[in-house]
Amino acid sequence: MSTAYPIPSDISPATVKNTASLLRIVALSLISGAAIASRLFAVINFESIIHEFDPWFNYRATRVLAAKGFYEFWNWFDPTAWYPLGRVVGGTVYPGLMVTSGVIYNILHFLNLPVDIRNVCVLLAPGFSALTAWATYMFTKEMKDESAGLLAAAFIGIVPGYISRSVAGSYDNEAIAIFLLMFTFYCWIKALKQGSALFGTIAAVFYFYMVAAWGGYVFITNMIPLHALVLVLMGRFSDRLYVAYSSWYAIGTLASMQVPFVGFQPVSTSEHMGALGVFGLLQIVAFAQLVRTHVSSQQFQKLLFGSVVAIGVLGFFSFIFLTYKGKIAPWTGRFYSLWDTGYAKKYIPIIASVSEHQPTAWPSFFMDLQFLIFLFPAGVVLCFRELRDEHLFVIIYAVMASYFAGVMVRLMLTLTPVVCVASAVALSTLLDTYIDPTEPVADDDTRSEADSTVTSNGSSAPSKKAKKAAAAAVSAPSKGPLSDLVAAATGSAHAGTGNITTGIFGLDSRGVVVLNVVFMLMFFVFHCTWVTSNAYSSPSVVLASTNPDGSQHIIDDFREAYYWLRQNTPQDAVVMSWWDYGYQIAGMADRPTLVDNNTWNNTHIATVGKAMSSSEEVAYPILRKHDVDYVLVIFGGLIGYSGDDINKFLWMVRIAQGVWPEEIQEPNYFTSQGEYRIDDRASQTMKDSLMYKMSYYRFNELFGGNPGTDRVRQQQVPKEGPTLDYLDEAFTSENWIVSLFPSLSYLAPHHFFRSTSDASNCICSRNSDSDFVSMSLLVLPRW
Amino acid sequence: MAPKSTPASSETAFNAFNTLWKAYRDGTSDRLKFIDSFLFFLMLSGIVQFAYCILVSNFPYNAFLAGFSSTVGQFVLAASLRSQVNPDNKDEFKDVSPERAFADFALGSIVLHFFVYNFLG
Amino acid sequence: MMPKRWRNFPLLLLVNAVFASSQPFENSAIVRSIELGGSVVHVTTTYAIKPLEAGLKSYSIALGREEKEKTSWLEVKSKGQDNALQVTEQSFDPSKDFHIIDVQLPSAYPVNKSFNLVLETVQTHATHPWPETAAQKDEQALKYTTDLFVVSPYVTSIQRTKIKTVTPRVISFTEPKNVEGFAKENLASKSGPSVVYGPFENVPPSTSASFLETYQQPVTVHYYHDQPCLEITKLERFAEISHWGANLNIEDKIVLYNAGPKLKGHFSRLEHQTQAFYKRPAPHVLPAMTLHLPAGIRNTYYYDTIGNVSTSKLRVAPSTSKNKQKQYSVFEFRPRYPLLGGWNYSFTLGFDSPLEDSASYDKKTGRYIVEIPIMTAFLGTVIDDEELTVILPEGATDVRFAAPFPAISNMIGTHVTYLDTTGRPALTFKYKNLTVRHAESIFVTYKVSWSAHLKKPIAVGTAFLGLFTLGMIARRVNLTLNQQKPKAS
Repeated sequence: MSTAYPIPSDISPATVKNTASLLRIVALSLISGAAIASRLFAVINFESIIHEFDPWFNYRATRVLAAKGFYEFWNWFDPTAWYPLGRVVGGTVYPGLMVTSGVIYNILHFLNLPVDIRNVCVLLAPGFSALTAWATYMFTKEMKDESAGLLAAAFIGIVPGYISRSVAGSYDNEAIAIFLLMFTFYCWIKALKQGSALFGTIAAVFYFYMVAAWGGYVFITNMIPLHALVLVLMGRFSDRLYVAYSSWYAIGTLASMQVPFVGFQPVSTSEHMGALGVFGLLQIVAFAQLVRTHVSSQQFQKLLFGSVVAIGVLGFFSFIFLTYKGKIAPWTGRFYSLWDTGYAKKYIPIIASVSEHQPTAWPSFFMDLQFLIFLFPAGVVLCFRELRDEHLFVIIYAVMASYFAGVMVRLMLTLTPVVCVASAVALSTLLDTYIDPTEPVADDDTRSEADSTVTSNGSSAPSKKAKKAAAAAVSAPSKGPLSDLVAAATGSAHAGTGNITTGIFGLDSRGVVVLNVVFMLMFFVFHCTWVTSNAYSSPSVVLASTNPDGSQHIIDDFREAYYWLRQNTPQDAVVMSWWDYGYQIAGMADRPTLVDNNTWNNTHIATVGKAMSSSEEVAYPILRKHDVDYVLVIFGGLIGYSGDDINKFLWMVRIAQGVWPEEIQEPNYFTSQGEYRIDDRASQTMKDSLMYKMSYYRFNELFGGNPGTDRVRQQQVPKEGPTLDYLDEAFTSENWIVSLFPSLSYLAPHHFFRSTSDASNCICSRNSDSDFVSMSLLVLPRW
Repeated sequence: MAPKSTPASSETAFNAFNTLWKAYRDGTSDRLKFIDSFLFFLMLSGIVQFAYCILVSNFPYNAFLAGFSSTVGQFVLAASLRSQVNPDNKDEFKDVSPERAFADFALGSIVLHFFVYNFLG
Repeated sequence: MMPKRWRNFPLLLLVNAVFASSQPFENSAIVRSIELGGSVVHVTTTYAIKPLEAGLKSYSIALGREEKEKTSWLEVKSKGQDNALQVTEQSFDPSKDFHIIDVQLPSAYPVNKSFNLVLETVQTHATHPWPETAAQKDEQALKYTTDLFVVSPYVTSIQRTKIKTVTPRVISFTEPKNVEGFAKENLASKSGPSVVYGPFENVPPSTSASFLETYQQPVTVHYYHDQPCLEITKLERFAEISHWGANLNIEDKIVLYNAGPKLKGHFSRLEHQTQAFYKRPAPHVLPAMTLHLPAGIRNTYYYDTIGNVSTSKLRVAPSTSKNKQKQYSVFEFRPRYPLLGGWNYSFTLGFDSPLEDSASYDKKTGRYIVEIPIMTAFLGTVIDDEELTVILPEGATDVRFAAPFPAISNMIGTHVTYLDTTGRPALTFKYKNLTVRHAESIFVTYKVSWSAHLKKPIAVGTAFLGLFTLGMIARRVNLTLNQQKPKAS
């Protein structure tokens, strides 16, 4: 016997197969359960509430859909957003998310299960994360085998990089998009492997769903063509590739144009041209292949090759020409900012002002992926070892996603799946090697056979192989770097002996490695749980701090002020605030807003920025012109909430300056030393600005006449508090976080953030690298 | 996908073209020829539509796109079917029997024309 | 408005009409005592009456038209007795300015022997803030107006009205005019927290048109009140009985409104915090209210349109059986923001309670009896409109109910919820102007058959069975198209 440990040999293969498949099903359901459960921290720690900013819009739109039906939603014009312009919501959203929850809602109600639409929305993301785990399992199974698939599913189920966007309540497009991404990729790989138009069609249908759900569909639009192109360039063109790509592209592109927000972009913008080009190329190559099967003339093939090149060059130049003529829209600014990280800061401050568009900080890679980030390269290397068509896909995906994740924090999300897949491949290879019960034997063939058949559960090692192994004489070099290493280390120590308990092939060394892996996995689980519960589960609408006795204290100023607005102001009272809070005001207070997180109109935003940053005399006519009834200000100086408007103020100034360079100048808001201060030394322009006045209005009086200290900026405010002539205070929330200043009345939400807990620090490190980054996690329209 | 393309300007090219045509006629089963004639028809239809769009008007742009996409989509689906049922490619498509290929083709066409119909508007 | 016993005896009406002219009673004294509050005013009127004829079974009480409109609750007892007497309202004659209510006396009293009847009423919407607006720092002042004389169809020897306020600070009160004939001195006087009108002596039957025209007059008291005047403009209560869950779920949708003086200017948090710091809360601001919920409740939830009201707290008392002494769970309800004059706050409050605490099964008749509280007691608060919906288990038949006082309307409908197939019968009651005195219970009885009980599990079971069968069939049908292949090879 040369197995490292005894294996029962009297089990029929059918039993083994059935047991393995049952175990897989059980494991997958447990993984789904874990994925859902770990996302429920947000509900348990807080409540079933929609998080952050964009989800509030999605939630509101979903409610319209659920209450009024699909056609009303499709034609929905929202006059309360972007007052007085309004917004055609039906044509400017990715409706996939809302339709998904609407369908679920209607099914539940058809079954007489009166579930609140809010709970459907809150739990949608956890539900889809279970589906993502399954899709990742299927995808990884195509890469290696079922055991790697299970590992990948477990990783994606709990990895913080994905959880950060899919906790319960995080009702955003990404919630369903990652599932669609993985499933589309799976169908693509499957279609490519089998050459099946069926899977190509399914891939196209899910691609359509993805287009309807998330702006990030462009990632698929470019990933699949890139994969196809690389395959062609490597000389791996096959009819399977042709079938898969053509069926996907022809149906998928047509389908994607059904989404009104996407419209004709697939045939008119640069982002989509790559896919079209590859489509054309494949037709030509396929035709050339066909011709080649019919003739063998050397001369003819040369001619053919020449014509292929000529057509390719022609296509390229016509693309340039059309772009130049304006028939094809050039790359948008958002895409430029992917290549040139400084671009946005210079030209589109609105994009740069969103913290999630900042480059990723190194620690966040570790925080979001933990030990997967180390296994990831190993997995990619293992893909190179086999390098089938689908492995190439993982490699390309890994390279592209790594780059993008480095450029923008939020694109970490697209990197996470491939990291999980690659790490699972690496880890599963490692485990396969070390759990494999066969002893190394002299025969090369035997070894490779063992390599390919033994799976991680190891129970199915055929006994005939053991016999063969016993027949072999001495250990010999085997295949693969790991086994090479092993072989080199042991030399010919163990020759055909029975159960060896020591040495490199013994149970002890196997045990050390396996235990090590188990330990790492456990630590990974602890890390994920900790990060999820501490950093990623805060709704940000509600803030938590700790009472002296350790119990949780909820700071609920935002909702306090929004609900006050909703209940005690006229239905048509227009609220002006910085755009971060637009969706929340619309969702929670149900009042018209000037600007919101759908930042489509830069001038309108700049108008608000100008009103906020100019003096009262200048601002007042602007407010009157826009029928503003209330101005909403977020101020964290009293309890130390750093995401307040004073910290975002410079972005308001910058954006306003972009439109009115002669009226608003950024340097005026700094002290002569170039510091951004709010105390005595603050510049006069700063002190005169509406934002400053509203924030610190009556702030001193709270300290009984002593100069108050702003706890965010750690500065003492001037003794003489600002006075307001045109505005008045209408409502201030409990902790002064939200104040509402009516322009005839006055509305300034003063938020008091007394949060001292670690959690809030984590949030800060996640959201902002610099103090002047807005805390918003809002999504800009195109992504 | 039949007798088209390759600039046949020179004598050699013409010869090559003839060889090709002969080889095609002799070495292709009737089934495939039937598909090829369908492909040829689709190509002509696509060319006509494209020419109309360029020369006359692309006015209901979505209608043009729908029509053009339907020809292109049908073309590639039929071409896929052709390569799947081609006995020469048997090794490539181990999982796809000719019957399965035809079912795939039908399903793909249904989905395609569903979107076309929706897009015609 | 909602007297406790409402049975109408036509005979009594007749009797009363006969005696009305011939003065069967004399009031030896009427003492009316009005306890002023914010939204709710309690009036206790004691009638010392003397029958002038033998065998009288009915006494008539008159209420002025406006007073009747304000009255939301009315109860007559004979003094020292716990049981309320049966009262009957006579049909209203629009030409007259008063309503007559007949009280059925417990027994025939001997002639010329005086005895006491106590009329207790609760008035709502009887006060209004004056001035109508108040700044955050200002006090809250209210005005209350009532008639000077207690109207009675009988001669009254002496009557007096005492109006009490909670704080001993009365700003002003009306001096009655033209009533010197009834009282020599002390037409109106003020002592501490109360204003006293009268005593007035030898008042003739005040239901006569001439008396009302000449002497009856409104008197107004203007006073400070240091509790917020609260109104619940709309209360929707759903009580859902679940036999499978042994659960009674009660959910209230509440629209709370501060009916005190409207806020002048704007709300200043600084001011509010200063007041709280010095423990001098403004009288018209409601920072929180305490509610008593039943004992043994669980899964309590309180939320509004945008989520949990995280500012509120609940202390649950353990469950008690029906007969034991009453205990309460205390719910400290704190709206998201302090409720100033003229502000609204709407929220939902719901809880589950064990069904055995409020239901019982009568084996003899096979009926279930469930006690449904009409409302949670909101002290000093008036509920303008209430809609109570009692949702019975699916398949409940033969539904009957017994109500402590009549509703404005009631109807039976169908409500479809959790996995229902045919829906559940739902009783809907509508009420107006409820006060804490109305916090009583409706008793609903119904029958549920065994088969109706089993309907739900059978329906769900059938659905799942169908699903599994479909799955089984789908697994066993081979849809692959190349089946001829094995044949060929």
